[in-house]
Amino acid sequence: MILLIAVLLALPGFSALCISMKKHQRQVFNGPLPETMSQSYRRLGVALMALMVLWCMIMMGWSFGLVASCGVATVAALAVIITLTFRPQLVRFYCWLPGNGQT
Amino acid sequence: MNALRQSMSWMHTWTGLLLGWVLFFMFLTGSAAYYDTEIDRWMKPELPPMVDVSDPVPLFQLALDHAKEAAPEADNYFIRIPTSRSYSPYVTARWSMTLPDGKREFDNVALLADGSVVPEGRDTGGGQALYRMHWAFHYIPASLGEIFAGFAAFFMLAAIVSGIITHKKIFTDFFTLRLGKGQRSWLDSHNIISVMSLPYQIMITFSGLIFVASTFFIPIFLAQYGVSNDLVKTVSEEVFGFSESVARTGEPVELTDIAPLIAETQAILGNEPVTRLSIENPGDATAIIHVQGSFSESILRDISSVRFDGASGELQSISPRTFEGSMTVIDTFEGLHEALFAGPVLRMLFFISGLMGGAMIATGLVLWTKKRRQKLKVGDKAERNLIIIERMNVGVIAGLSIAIASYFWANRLLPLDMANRADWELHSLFLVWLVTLIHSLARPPQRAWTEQLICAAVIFAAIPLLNAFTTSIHLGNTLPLPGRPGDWALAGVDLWMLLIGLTFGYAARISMKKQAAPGDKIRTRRKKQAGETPAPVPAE
Repeated sequence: MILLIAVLLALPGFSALCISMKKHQRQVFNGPLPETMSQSYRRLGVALMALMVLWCMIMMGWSFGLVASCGVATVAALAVIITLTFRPQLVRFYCWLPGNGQT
Repeated sequence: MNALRQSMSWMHTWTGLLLGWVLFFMFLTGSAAYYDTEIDRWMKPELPPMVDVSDPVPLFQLALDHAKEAAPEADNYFIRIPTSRSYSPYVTARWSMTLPDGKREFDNVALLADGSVVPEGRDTGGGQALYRMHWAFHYIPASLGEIFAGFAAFFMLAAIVSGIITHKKIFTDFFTLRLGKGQRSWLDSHNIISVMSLPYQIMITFSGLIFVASTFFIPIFLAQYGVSNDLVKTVSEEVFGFSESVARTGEPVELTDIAPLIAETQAILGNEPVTRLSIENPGDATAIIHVQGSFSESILRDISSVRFDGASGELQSISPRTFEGSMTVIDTFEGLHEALFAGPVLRMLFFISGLMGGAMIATGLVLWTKKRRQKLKVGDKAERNLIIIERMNVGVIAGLSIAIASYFWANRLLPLDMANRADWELHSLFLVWLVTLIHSLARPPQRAWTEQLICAAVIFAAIPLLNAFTTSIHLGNTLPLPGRPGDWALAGVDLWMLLIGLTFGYAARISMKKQAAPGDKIRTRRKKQAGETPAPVPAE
């Protein structure tokens, strides 16, 4: 359960980081997002990833947590990259974004 | 900066390439070793399920009683109750005796909870053979294998560090995978696989080097301690804290009851379960009992131990896991490498990361040949070498995978009464690998890729079926269902085989499409270079 929650934090975390990049915005939204929104996604992504590491370390202890967060990050990144490559528009759902993502 | 990048790029290419095939072998067999105990059990399907360890005291007691009866004159007894990472899923007792000629004789027994002896089961290498192969290889002495593995790990570390420096857009290209773009796609795949699992790759390589450090540091030991017959003993005492066993007095004394000692140790260790008991000089006035915890509670490859007087049961010393000094660094890296602490989910993440290490090396090897192929001019003498490397890549990358799957097939298909059966399982692995290498050298590379990937897909995906036809530990019985606990360890092996088979199937589909695509770009380009009019290339 602890690792599942960690994945549920890392997946939107990486998706937000991915969406914050101009070249991936074209893939996901068929066009670039405003700069302010890109920055917001970047901050959201960093915050979620930090939260994921923190969650693992609190729940599993710092040593186990650090190791587990590396593994979780790898799997989450893999999921985002596979989705982005084959079904780019689905990446927005990892970020809980409806429709065209213009929240 | 560009000059540094260029020199690092050169280093990355050659350090990765020179021992790439060896490293691929190490990563693939090493990844399988994360599930060594599960594979051990899968490969001995006739044995009963794992012993329930919810109440460990009676298990320790029955193993001690059995050992005392079997070897009353033993120098020591070692008793272990199983954990998910134990070599044996049963209670084991091991003992050693000094023979009249001074030699030591070892023996052991595995027991069920009712005290009955576990039958031997089929002769198999199990998961331990794969584990051992990833650092000791096979058909060569283990010490030589260790040196070779050390060099390979050193090259790998150099390749990783130089790769990080070479990679210009480590963050901007983090999510970028452009498929169907030839060399660019291979580079993207190599980059994202490497970057995604980078912490793991650095950790596993560096910790691998630490494992073999003592082999490479022998000159340092010699310089520090001098050349003497007691070198190993002196180093063990000073560096690792191992002490020599106490001499027997010859005064017979009954061994104290172990149940209160286990309870006392459990109270000291808290959540860490007691899993081991060792007794020195049993039946003598100098008897010592060590009650030990478990490797599963810490990343450190160290274990807590409590020492008692064997006659009176008096507590003598407590040796908790050490968190100080350089040994902690060594224990941490060794613990991370072996991942004995990891539960099922974390273990799965380690396994996936290990496979990604293999994929990183494989994509790097293919990328190198693609780059070379593009630079090659018509009539270039280097083409013959490149062709061999291209074909060997097929035989090593796809062929080794087929060979590992065939090891599992051999476990099920070789006659149970066959002499040296465990050896023949491994011979099967290497014979199949040899066949795939010959096949890859005999066929055009693209065809060889397709054929071997199809073969890998079929041979892996069919393992659960083979298991169902030959044993009772198939998915129909091992998958947990409502009202049936099942056995995830055994079901997991079958499920992984199925998943790996499907992955190879997907790779084979891509390869088939590529093979069927008209107008091979390289051939067309080379014909242009030769001044010929490119004709449409029929599908192979």
